[in-house]
Amino acid sequence: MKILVCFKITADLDQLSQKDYIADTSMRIDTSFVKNMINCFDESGLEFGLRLSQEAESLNLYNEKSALTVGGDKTEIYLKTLNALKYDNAIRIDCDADITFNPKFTGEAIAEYVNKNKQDIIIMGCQAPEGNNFSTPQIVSNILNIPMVANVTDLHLVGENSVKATVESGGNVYEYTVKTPAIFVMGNAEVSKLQVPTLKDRMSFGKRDIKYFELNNCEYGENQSTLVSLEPIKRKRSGKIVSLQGKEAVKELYCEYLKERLDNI
Amino acid sequence: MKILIVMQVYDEFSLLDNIKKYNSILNFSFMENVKTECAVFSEYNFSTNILEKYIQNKVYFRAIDCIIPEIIKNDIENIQNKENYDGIIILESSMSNYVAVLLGEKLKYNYVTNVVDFYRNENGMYFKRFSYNNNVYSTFEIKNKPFIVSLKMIKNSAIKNNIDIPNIIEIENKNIPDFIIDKNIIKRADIKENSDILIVAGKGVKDKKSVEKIRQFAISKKFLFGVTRPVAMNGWGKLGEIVGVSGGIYSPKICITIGVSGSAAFYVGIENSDYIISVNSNDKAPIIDMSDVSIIDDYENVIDDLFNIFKIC
Repeated sequence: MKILVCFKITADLDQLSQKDYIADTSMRIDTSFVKNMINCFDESGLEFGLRLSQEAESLNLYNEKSALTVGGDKTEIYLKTLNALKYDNAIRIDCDADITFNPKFTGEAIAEYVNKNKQDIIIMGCQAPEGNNFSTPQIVSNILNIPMVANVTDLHLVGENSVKATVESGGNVYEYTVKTPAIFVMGNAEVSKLQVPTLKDRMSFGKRDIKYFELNNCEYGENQSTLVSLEPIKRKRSGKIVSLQGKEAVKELYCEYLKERLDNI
Repeated sequence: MKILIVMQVYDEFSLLDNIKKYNSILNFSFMENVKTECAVFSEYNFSTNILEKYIQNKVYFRAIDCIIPEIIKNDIENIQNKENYDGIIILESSMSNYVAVLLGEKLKYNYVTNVVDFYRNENGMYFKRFSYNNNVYSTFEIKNKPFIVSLKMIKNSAIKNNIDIPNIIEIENKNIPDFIIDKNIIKRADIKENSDILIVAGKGVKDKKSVEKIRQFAISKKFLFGVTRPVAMNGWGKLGEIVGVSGGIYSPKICITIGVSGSAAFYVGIENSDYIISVNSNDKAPIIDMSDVSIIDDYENVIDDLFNIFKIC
């Protein structure tokens, strides 16, 4: 059984203030000075990749787990961590172009990899915070003609060829038993944090080579729709602060600001 | 231009919500001189008389066990092959983005997800959505039809009665994709209160017990209750209670945030509120500038008195 988890390294945008969101003339926002992190939905996916692998072992199923990212040098440290967590393959696909708003390229790159390295289970996050495109898993699904299960919040192996996926949709919770190969798109899962490798595992496994996958068929091309503007959103309100504290603050809030509003409800 | 509007209905609340959003969209300038028809996919068992009362022209209807993007994509593809719409607009739901992109890729149409506003002029069609963790509006141009968009955060509009009764066509294809061996619903959504007041607990509410206290107060007053994503990920709140871009979007008359720092991803969930009150011990928290009024204090010092105000409502 082959498990592939796709992940993205993004800037930790919570570190930016409103005034940092100014686009340059080529419609890019500079986030290079901000600390990086694994996209939170993908981090869930990577943890599930490890857990499914453990479940496969307990079912005496051979399994191989791989982690793949499309990015540059900033991905290196994370791939080493995934090696230390005993991912069998930590793979990097390089791309110099800005693909923030080009999920098509990312999707095609992943699909090219999978076409050469068949997978049974592909796990991807639903979106990443920069582009917010919400598209890459669907693009991969369409190119590979592999079905997709969306908004997954939990995953368990049922057997060699099937997975049980818990899905949240419209506030309802469903359980699907799904035939593989399939793509599982992570939503808001309670399992949200990736394990931390031990120092021993970092020394033993962390130094294994990272694999580089060269794209042959995938070119940075046009997206379906053209980005024409980026404008920062101003969200200021009156920002009044009650002058007092404790019980007196609540009294002031009620008398000065709330009474009339509550009377009208 | 002829456009198909797609609704996904889970329960009574989402049926009414979809109809209000449908009415709202019809008032967009983009929709001037546009003929609209609808496709409704519903897990909720309701009489199609409701559709006759509120939806114009033609309605394709399918009662469905589970709203799965693959099923909706296949059905809309069949409808599109017959009707040749210039555009397909998918109203907001948990699955709308998935449907839009699967359909767009399959049919090789231009698409944009999570659209919050759209307009057109002599140069083209323009679709605006959030990017950079909801701190930036990005506007995309689509020059050629057909197009597909999935919507997000469109404000509701009052429901209007129809003059003419539409033609309701039941979708005959009842297949479930064969990659699903088995399916069960294991939990239904909590019934949403129709309240003008929303209370949200953030990570500044220091523990699960305190979140529960706030939740129980909201339930006792039939207020809406939500949590921020970090609170839910900590296991202090339910995933279905998340407020923000990856959860619920609300527009109450009054929103009270307690211990919420105010990330853009969260704020999207409350920014249509008429009035926002925040309680936070940090006067530099982003939520302060984005609120109408704030109390700068530890929530434990004010929460009981704050609840007492609302007990008399």
